[in-house]
Amino acid sequence: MLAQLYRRAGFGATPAEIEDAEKLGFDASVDKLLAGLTGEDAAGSALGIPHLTPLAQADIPGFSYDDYAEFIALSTWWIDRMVVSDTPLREKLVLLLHGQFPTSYQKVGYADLMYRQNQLFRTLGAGAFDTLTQAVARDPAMLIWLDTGNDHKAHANENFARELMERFTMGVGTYTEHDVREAARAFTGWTLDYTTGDFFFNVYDHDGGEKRFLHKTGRWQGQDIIEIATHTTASAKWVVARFWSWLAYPVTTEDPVVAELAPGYKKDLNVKNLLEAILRHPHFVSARARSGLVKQPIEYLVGTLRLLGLRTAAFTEGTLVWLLASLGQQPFVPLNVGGWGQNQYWLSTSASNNQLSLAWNLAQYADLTEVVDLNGSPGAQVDAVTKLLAVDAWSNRSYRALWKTADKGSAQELLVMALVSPEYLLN
Amino acid sequence: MARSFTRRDFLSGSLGVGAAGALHATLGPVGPVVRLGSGARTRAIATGATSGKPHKSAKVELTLVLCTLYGGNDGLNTVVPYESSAYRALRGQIAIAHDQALPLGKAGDIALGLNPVMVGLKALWDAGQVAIVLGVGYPNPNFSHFASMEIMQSADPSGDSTSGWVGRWLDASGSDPTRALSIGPNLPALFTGTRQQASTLADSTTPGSQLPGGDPAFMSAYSELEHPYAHEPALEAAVAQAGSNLLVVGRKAASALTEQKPPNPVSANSAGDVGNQLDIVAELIKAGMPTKTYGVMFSSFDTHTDQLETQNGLLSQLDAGVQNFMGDFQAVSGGLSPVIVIYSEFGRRAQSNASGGTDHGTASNIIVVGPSVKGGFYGELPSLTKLDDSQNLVHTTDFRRVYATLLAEILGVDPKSFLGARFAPMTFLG
Repeated sequence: MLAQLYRRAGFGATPAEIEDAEKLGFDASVDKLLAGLTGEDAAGSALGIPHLTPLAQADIPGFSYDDYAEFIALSTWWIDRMVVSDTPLREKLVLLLHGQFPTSYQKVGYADLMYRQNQLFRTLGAGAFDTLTQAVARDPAMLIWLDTGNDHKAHANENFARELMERFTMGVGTYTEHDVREAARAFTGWTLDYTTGDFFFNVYDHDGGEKRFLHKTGRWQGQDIIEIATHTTASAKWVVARFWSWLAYPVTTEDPVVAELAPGYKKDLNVKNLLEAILRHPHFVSARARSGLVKQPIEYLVGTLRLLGLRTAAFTEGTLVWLLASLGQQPFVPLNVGGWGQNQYWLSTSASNNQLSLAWNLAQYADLTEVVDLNGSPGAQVDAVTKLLAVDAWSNRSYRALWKTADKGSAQELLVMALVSPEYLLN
Repeated sequence: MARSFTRRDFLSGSLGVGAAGALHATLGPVGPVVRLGSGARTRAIATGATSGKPHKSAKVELTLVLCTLYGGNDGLNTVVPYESSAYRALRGQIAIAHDQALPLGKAGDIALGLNPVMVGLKALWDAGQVAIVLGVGYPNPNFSHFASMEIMQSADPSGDSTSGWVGRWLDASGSDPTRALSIGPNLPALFTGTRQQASTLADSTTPGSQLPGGDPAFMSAYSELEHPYAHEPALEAAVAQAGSNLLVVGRKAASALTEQKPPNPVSANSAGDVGNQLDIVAELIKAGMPTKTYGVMFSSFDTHTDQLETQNGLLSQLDAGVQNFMGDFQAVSGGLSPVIVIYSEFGRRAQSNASGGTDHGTASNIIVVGPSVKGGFYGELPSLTKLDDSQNLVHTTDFRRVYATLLAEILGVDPKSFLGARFAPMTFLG
């Protein structure tokens, strides 16, 4: 149960960490994880942030630099931060919020802006969801990603207004096309000042007229739209369903557990309180939850690096980023504004193939001295790998396959086999 | 920005559990005609007057290649009513110039031309191998990318269906994991049934990958590991099933590709991402994989701003990819005749916005390409002056008529069981 708590509310725990958590007990362990949402992350903060060229400098004519190299360094930095963090729930929240407000470097094109958005999730993520959404809406990477900066008074661009409601706050089917058009008018004049790299409201390009949005009429501006949208009942259900789906098991907005948790969330829109309500909910440790989630590739990679005591520096630069891309979850590069799917979404023949590649890469660098020392006893070797990966139990089927590998193959092969087992792939 | 991968990378870096080395060594194009899978449907095609059509007696093997354009491709700037003043008024600065469009002839009394970058498709059109279905859509259009793509892929305008239309065909046609192959890591809903799903093939290599090819003990244990057992929790069993399908797909692709001789040098498709994916498909079709349906995907068509530059760039890659791909299958005497079907979740708003782009819209065209295709226009272009309440085009052809045609003519099944109702098939393949 504690191993599962740490996998869901973080990136997994080593056997030593689980032992410590067992001394604390479940409730106190939840307290500790929640405290980390706003507490000091000594190890994470100590990581050197790669050099990132600010937008204002990057756009000076004649100035030349390699943004893509900065982007790979940034991606590696984030993976490393998830691995070493002392506040795993906060790092998990940053990843989940990247999925809630998916923004891709492929269109944004500036590594520094992706970093700024990432930091925004880290500093504001656990607070009120409306405040967070207001900040995300003015975030430079988002302004580029959804063309908010191109929403002109003359004929509004609907891109941001639509996704704000559909993906970020309310969910599809909870508003009308008329609401989309009215909201787009309210966001006219919101833009990015490329000379400073900051949000800028161009009042001359703003449509100041009256708008009717979600049954409310007024001379709404962008911030009013966000205020109204985030305080709807539809939004409470949508946000609760998203977080529950990521942490326990996938649900729709009509699930009873959403109906139960949404009113509490709607009172203050506080994300930390919502996370607490989910982690302490009896269904969070139910049988359904236990076999309810497949590890996302980033969770899989980060969790395995933690268990094996490895850091990104062990690998050739870019290798881990490309392995994640091959599994369909590259950090800072969601496929589109819909973000990533869940469970079956991560399972396919090519995913199985690329999991093997990833597992081989990881096994190359793992310290398997203890497993090798047990040479001659396949059962003891399997036990050692089981402990190393903090797996609760194997099916007979998997145990047999692991035993045979230990018997005939190398310690590395045994580790690879365990890393691609159906049991380990579940979160 | 993105590193481009060659087909060689793909075939050496993936697929190859147990056979990576062999694949790498023997990869080559064409070769002699390969035996086709047993589930394959063969049919004779009548002699056509158009050049490049097969001889009457030839047995032709049709393979479906579904090309999904994500983001909502603008149909009006793909197949352009370039003489229409209404088009010019709606599109203003982003209208394709009258003398730039590549003229295709008239549909009804409206002159249509291809986007100027689509020179490859124009050549294929001239050879009678391109069918353009106009005004394709569904009732009560949905403007969400995700909801509308779900509708297009499930063939269910209510949005309630959770399976894709090809997925339902997979449910009903056995369990061989090579019946449908999707290129890329994430499987689209199109290929997911309630019990069965398509397999996926990577479109890129993985640096430093060290696949355990050639170690029979490891592979035998892996095969045991990835074997779902009775009453295994559903998700665990799904992990195991994917691994076990990988072994089947890898084995079949490896044996198909190694049967080829002699390996000729391959010219990599330079058409970027979608070209790479089509390369992989071409290779597998020529190698005689028993696959009846392939999927490739191409993103970034969501042109809310600077549409001319973005869309023309994307269409140009698509065009080169399709032309390159079809180059391999011009003579269908070998019996292999792929049919590429290009569609998107929706078209775009009739009128452009003030940022040189277009917002989400409704009806658009579906383009069908291949040596067995009966070229020409099908259906009619929606009116540009009588728009719906939301200022969008009103569809003239139900999208399920296109699927009904593909199900009947390529997959050889009764479309009604897969579409829930009977839709009049079209004649672009028959």
